[in-house]
Amino acid sequence: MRIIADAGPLISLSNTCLLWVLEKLPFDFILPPWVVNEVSLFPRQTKHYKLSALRISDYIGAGVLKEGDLGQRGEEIARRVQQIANNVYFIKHRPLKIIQRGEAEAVALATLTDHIMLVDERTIRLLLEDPLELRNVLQIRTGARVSMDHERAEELQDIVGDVLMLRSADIVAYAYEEGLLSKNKDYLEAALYALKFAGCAISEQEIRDYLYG
Amino acid sequence: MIREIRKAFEANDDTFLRNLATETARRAAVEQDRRLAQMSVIAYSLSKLLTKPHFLRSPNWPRYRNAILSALRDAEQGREKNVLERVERTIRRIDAEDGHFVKSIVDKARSKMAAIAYSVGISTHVAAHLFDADIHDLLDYVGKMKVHDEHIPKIGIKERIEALRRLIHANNS
Repeated sequence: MRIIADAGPLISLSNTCLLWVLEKLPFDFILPPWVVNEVSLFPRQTKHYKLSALRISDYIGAGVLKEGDLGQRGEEIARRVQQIANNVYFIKHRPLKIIQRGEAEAVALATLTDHIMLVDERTIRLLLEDPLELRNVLQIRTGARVSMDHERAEELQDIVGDVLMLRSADIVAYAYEEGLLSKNKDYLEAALYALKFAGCAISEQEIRDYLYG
Repeated sequence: MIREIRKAFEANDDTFLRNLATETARRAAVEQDRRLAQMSVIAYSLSKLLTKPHFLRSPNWPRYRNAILSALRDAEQGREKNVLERVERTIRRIDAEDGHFVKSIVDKARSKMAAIAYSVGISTHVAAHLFDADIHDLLDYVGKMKVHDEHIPKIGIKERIEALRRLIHANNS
């Protein structure tokens, strides 16, 4: 099965030395072209993140992470997804640009494969899973009234369909359940918190609920 | 806005500058305005300079302070288009000469302001692009914020793993 990976989870997994988990799982992890550039090529120019980029490059070289080909159809879907997503929410009649090309490419590839995405950030996940909740978040955080174009949100749903959104924390928890991680629950807890602090959009409450709920 | 930054910097008001930076980062996210993003980075960087005694005690400080104020005044009067870059260059120079940390104040400010923009609800990619922040750095800051604790998703880890198992099962059968 193919899982389309965004940049965030690869960075979180690399920075927490957990990239190896992907190698153990029976999935093909596919990276959109834009993401390959973002996680493995561009950061090599900075000393701080070069090691992280090289680690990810090693996994690309070894075929654990594969670069996906959007093709003409994928390009068209990515363009549509980006265009629609950035015209769903409005503040004072101005559309709110919430996603970029890389995320749109990931969504497009997911729709053309097995409908699974590995994405750590909150925005794209809420947009596809719960667009009304994203409006609430936007409204609370901006302090402004945010209007939503429901037709466009539905159009996006029609194009994308049901996509399972997994975070790096979910994939590590899955690996634990499959016996691929240490059997020690403390290790899992530490790994989940490390991923949270590395930027994965998971709350402390969720981690507690999963481990002790 | 530049006038506000200049006056606050002149008055050594780091609290005002920090609040202005945060508020401006949010506005930049909503309005997708790179100039606002840059101003928030400058306001935040200046606030940081004012809170570090080793900068303020440096013999170079009066010279750099004047250079920043002069650039900000030029910006207020619309004399120079790239004045924000000029301020940024000056901050980088102070940081390189008298700073204690390897990572520059400006680069840290970019990531922090981008993290605030992300907390508004735009994606990490959009935020990183808007503030010219490194996505690695941005995620690092986002991880240190409480933004992901403020919203509990309806689907937790357990449910996502169950859904994954269902897909695997369907794929295998």
